[in-house]
Parts: sequence; structure tokens; C-alpha cells
Amino acid sequence: MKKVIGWFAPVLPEARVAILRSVLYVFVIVDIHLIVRDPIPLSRHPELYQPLLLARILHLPPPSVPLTVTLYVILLIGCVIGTAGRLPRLAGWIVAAAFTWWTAIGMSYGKVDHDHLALVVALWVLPTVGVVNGRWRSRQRFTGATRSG
Amino acid sequence: MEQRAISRVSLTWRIVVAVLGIGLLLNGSLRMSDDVWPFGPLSQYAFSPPRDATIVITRVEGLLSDGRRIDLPLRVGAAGISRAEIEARIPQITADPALLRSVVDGWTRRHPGAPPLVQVWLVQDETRLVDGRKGPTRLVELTTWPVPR
Repeated sequence: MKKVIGWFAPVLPEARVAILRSVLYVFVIVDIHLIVRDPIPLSRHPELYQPLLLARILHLPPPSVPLTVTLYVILLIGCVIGTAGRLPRLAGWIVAAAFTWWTAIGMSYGKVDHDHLALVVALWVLPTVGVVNGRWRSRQRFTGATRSG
Repeated sequence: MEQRAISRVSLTWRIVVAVLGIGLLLNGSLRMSDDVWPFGPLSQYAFSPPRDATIVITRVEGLLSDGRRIDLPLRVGAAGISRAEIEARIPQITADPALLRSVVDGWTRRHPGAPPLVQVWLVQDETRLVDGRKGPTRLVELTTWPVPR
């Protein structure tokens, strides 16, 4: 049992989380401009919208230009705050939710790509770690990239 | 080096969520379709075409009012919609060619100085592979739509 728990939650340096945080929030900004960059133009074509299971379960409203532009602005602001290491939980949850929705919209017009699974999971995991004192230079270690209470 | 503790509750819910996520991914990979994004089958990255396959490229051609017949590039930057989205909608478009309006509108918005489009065609280049190499190509016209003025 101890071995299983140790596999799920190994003891790791905390600075890794701070570094991953900076790298991923910068990457999200790159991603919404170079990879999943079509949600705003796609949202002009409601006749082609075919919502994914996720959007149907959560009753997400159909994409419109105001909605996708709002998501874009939220992602930009959230990623800048997240990259700076400020408000890691608040900015983290907001970016995770907004990016999941943004990418789901990009996959809701017929062509679904599964190359964003790891990034989406990582964005949801990051805010479960609170403030990393000392950020990249943190000397602390802790269990499984997590922090108690 | 200091080590930060983690409470039993924090550890438990994180492991439960991780196990659930692995379960969803297995379920998506083995039983489900693209619809369950982001936990869909990753098998889309697992195959290559056989050596005698037919490679189909879907395109949209447009007739300009000055008589030129041009290729309307199916990229987000050029037509506001990408080839994959059009490919996924071929049955709907052949049933209702007016859906090609999304390409016409996207292209016109990005080319304000160009002469107007008077007619568009949904076509496919079918290239046969012969022993894994490029063979003859055939142009197939799927449908056409006269752009209303």
C-alpha cells in the first residue's frame, strides 16, 4: 500500500511546480495563437456547431463571438498572472476552466484532436498546489506536487 | 532540505481523482468515440495508410466575377474555417450546399479588395497510392452552390 501511495505521490522538489507553472501558462498563450487558434472564427458559424459530450453534460451555451472573445481575454490575463506566480489557485482554476472550454469549442466543429489531454490535465492539477515560497528557487520538498490543507 | 507534510484527506482525494482520470481515459480509448473529448481514443495517432490507399484532399474552388476560378484555401487565416471542419461536414454540405456560405463569408471578409465570388464548388483530389508512392490523381466534384447576390 505504501508503495502504491508512493507511486501516486512521490516526494519531489517544490520548485518544479513553480517552473512548470511558468512554462505552461506561457505555452497556453502560444497555444491559443498557434495551435487551437480557431474558436473565435469558428464561433461565427453556428450552423456547423456540434457540441461534445462535455458541453452537453455541462449545458454550456453555444459559442458566439462575444463568448469566445471573452474566453480569449480571460486566458490572456489569467496566464500573465499565473506566469508571474501570483494568485496561483484563483488564476489556476480560472485558466484551467477557460482553456478547457476554449479547446472544447475548437473541437466542436467536426474535427476532434486528442493532443491536448496532457496539457488540460496539467492545468487542472497546477492550482491544487498553493503558493510556492521562493518560486523557482524554492528549496522545499513536498509530497507528490501537492500541499496539505 | 525541509519537507512539507500532506494531510491524509488531501492525499486521498488526489489519488482518487487520479484513478478516476485513468479510468476515464481507458474507457475513452477502449469503448468510446471522439465525442468524449478530452478523454477520447488516442488511436487517431496510431495508424498509417496502407500502400494502396486512396488519399483524398477536400478543397473548395470559387469562381470570381472576373472569370477566374481559384482555390479557396481552407485555413483559419484564409477562410475562417479549416479543411478538417469541412471534411467532417461533407454529408451535410452535399445535402445543403448553402452551408458553403461559411467558406464564402470567411474568404470574402479576409479579401475585401477581391472581386465577389459568384459560384463555389466542393471538390476532392483523389490520389491513388501505387505501392506506397503517388499514383494518378482524379478530381471529383461533390457539389456546387451559386452564391446569391
